[in-house]
Amino acid sequence: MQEPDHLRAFLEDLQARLRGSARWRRDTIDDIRSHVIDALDGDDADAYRTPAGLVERFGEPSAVAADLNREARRARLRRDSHLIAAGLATLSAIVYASATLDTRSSPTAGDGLPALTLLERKGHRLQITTAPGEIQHVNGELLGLLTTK
Amino acid sequence: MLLLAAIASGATHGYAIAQTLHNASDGTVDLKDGTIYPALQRLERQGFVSSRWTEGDGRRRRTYSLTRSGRAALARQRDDWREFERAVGGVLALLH
Repeated sequence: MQEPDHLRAFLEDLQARLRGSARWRRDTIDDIRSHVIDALDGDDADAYRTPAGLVERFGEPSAVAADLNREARRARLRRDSHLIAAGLATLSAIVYASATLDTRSSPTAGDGLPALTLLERKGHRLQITTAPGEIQHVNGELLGLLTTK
Repeated sequence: MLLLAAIASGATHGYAIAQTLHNASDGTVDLKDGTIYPALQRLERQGFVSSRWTEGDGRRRRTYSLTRSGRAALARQRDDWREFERAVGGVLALLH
């Protein structure tokens, strides 16, 4: 179906009010365009046929954009907090592992490894190579940092 | 819960979801259609809904579906609602 002028104007107004990534804005606008085209093809054709009807049935662009922007902001905050938490966890693991490994003496896979035992008791999953003193993984991370110890 | 139920019933596109809510409630659930999109995005962020894009008739369409955790959430919420409904019904029955 050809996109009616009032739908194009509505979507342009809405898009100008959206605050988020270009991809999110494009996806959101495409989703809403598809919604209105479905409506114009279906039972709600009359309700959606005029500019006033579109706003009445779908909502004011300003109100719709405000709700969408609020949701996008929450998603960004959640994503950012996960990144910060992951960064802090990695940093903590580096600091902890460095401090622990600095205090060990001649570690080999078979002679007790008090520092590594301590790490294991702290709930870390360790994998030790056959070469003395090398650790391949701590919780599946930090490979390059720790193998140099 | 209503959005999850609408999707579970087979409505997979935004307009169909809005229509399902309206029709299945005999018009009682009469939201502005635009309000479902922030809610769908939140459900997707929470992992209850997933979506994929298809192209046809010169336009992109987003298809929504429930995830496994979405189905579990719907079952939990339905049980909670029925419990609430029974509780309120029990109190209101005192009026007869």
